[in-house]
Amino acid sequence: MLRNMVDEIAAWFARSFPPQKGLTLWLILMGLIVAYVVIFFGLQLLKPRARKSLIAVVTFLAGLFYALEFFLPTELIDGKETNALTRFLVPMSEFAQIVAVLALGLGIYSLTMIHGKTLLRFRTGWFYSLTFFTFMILMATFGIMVEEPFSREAQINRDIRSILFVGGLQALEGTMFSIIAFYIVSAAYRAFRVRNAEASLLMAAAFIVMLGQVYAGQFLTNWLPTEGALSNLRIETMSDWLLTRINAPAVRAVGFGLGVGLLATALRIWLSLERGSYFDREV
Amino acid sequence: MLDFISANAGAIQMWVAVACTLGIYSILYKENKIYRFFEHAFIGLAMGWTIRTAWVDVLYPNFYQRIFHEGRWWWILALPLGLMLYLIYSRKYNWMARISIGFLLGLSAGQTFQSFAGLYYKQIVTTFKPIVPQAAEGSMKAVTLSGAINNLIFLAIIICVMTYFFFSFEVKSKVVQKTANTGRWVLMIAFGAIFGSTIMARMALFISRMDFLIKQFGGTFVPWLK
Amino acid sequence: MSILEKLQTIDRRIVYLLLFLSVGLALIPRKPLPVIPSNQARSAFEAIENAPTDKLVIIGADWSASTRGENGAQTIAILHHLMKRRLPFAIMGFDPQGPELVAAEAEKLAKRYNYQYGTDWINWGFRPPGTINATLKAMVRGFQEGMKQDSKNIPLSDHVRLPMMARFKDINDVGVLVVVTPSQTFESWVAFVQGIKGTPLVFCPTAVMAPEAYQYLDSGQMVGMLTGLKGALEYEGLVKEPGRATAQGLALSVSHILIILLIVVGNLGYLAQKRRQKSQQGVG
Repeated sequence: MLRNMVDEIAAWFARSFPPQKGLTLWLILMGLIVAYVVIFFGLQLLKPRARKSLIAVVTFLAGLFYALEFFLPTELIDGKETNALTRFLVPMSEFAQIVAVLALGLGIYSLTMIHGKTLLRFRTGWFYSLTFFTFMILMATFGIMVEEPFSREAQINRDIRSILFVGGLQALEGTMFSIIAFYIVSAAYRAFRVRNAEASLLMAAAFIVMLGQVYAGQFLTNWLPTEGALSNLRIETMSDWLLTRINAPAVRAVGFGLGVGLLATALRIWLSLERGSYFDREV
Repeated sequence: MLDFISANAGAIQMWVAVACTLGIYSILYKENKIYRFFEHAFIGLAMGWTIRTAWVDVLYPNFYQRIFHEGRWWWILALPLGLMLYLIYSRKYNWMARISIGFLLGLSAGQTFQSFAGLYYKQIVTTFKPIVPQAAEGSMKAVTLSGAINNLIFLAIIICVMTYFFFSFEVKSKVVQKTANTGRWVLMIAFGAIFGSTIMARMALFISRMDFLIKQFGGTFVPWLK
Repeated sequence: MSILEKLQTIDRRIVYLLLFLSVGLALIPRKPLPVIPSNQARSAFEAIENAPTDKLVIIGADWSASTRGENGAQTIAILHHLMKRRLPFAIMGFDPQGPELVAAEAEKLAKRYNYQYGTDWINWGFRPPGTINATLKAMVRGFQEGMKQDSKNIPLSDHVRLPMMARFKDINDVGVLVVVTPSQTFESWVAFVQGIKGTPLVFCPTAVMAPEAYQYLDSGQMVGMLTGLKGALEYEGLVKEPGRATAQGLALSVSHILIILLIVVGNLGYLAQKRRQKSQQGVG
């Protein structure tokens, strides 16, 4: 019943608003932009209370779609469980992708502003800002450039992109994160002390897991049989037992707490009940 | 110039990667200008790649192509919602950014129900394990004595750790306090295991870079290093 | 301060140098160390070994160059197995670099195993991480509708250039899911893809993430797991394709021994200091 109604509305929409080409398309786009500018300034006239309500309504409706899509009963159509909202899953996902990908630009905008100011005013470190812009523009340009599969230009483009991506980005990122190895070794050496029983237990578990995952550790108990009761004393068996029988339930218990907390927080956000620094800010 | 780069792309790529690797490792000795240069080059390249992927995989096919090639003009409606996010930097209009943020938050909040069900239902069900040894019967698998003990430990740990995180009101019962304390001890073991695993992760990343420097790069000049 | 106590204060640069030297030297010998595969790696191997060849394998490539040392090696080992068994696969990811990195490795191996793009494998490309749940929900219902086009912008409905997409329509056509990620994205794969039809999921996390994932093996939401570089090393052994992970086995062992020794040395110094302080208090 509900599904039929929604289907009819969707069909009406498709009939009434067909795709357009050429001048009509441009006129519609211009019209929508003008309409948006009017709405934009119209929104600014809203009182703070109305603004809060608007935000709450948008948040609620966005969440309502996925909540209803999940809770509404389904029927099997073409072997797939379907309800009234299922047909909108794809456009909703693509719509959200566009908005989310534009959100990625916030970081780029922020970095551009910081480095742009440093560069334009020749502040200390302007050379590093120039480096940032140079490599960002190079990577974006050679990344986006359209490639004709077998032309000379396409080959040059591919080679430069490869130098920047594999030689530059991959090497830099891989090395940057590998530095943590040094810090973790240094920190473990300096801070990992058997100060009390709990710390000793933590260290013992860490040693068993560390030894259990490399051959040098496994070699220590290699003389023990692989079958029977004694095999339980092999270091890799002990390590596996710790991870699957002690660590797994502990993590699961923490996960249950997190899951319920997450659900409660999601409900609070969805219904605009959440309070705190950001949510209480004046609008 | 471009032809030279193209002809020697493999070698240039290798030398660039070596320079980048050594440049970043120079921070281990002390803070220096070479490191700062490569650090900024890294941020620039990462941002450039993000721009590239956002355009090539999302904006071009889902937005540009749809509106300007297929004429489906109503997709332009996504633009104001996305652009409103940038108003977060404006003092006057920044409240409008919260409409877009609310939209994204609302979407993920609405998905939490399915996410919770998908993640936790099966975990809750499989937490209730047989703790008495039994022979195989119908679809039920056999449970050995050691299996039953392991299951009992599994269940006990879950109860102990959940009790440890019970902060809603003050606990006066000795039994509950002892259970929570056991949960704390178990968490120490779990943290130890996580630490042990973390060490391997960090080492693997470093070994990978050393492998590049010694075997892949060094190996091109000294064959026995390969 | 006694010599033992001084063991607590070795200069950090000496510690760094020790790590450099030990790993560097351990990478030189060519003879690989023996490998004892874990139960999790064996289960992962069996899941792919028993996957029907007329079904699709989806590779969730949610990693970047930062974890290439682990995820890269895992990916290559898995790709070897998929191609040896001639299993068709699709790559997709929620990290801007992930799909490109995996596709690059697939392209290298494709020549050896005679895999054709569009016929035997495909790259669906990147989608923004903020919409992972929405994207996966749409994807499981139909690949053409949910994913629309591949990373080269070819529509999935173009069955001339992408003939494999005529055979695989939705989640019912998926034999195995392989999720390679150093982040929490695997939870979305479990909740929104694996849980729909109970498709076997092989998880390839970094070793940091692995302890969090063992419980999913217990619940049956994952069938196997490759734990970081160790998992890759074990898998290379299982598919009999020794590669970079196998070559790095000795270095992994040596680095672990070094850190254990350093912790022990630090603690010897600590205990010596404690004993001295105790005896001084006793005298005082």
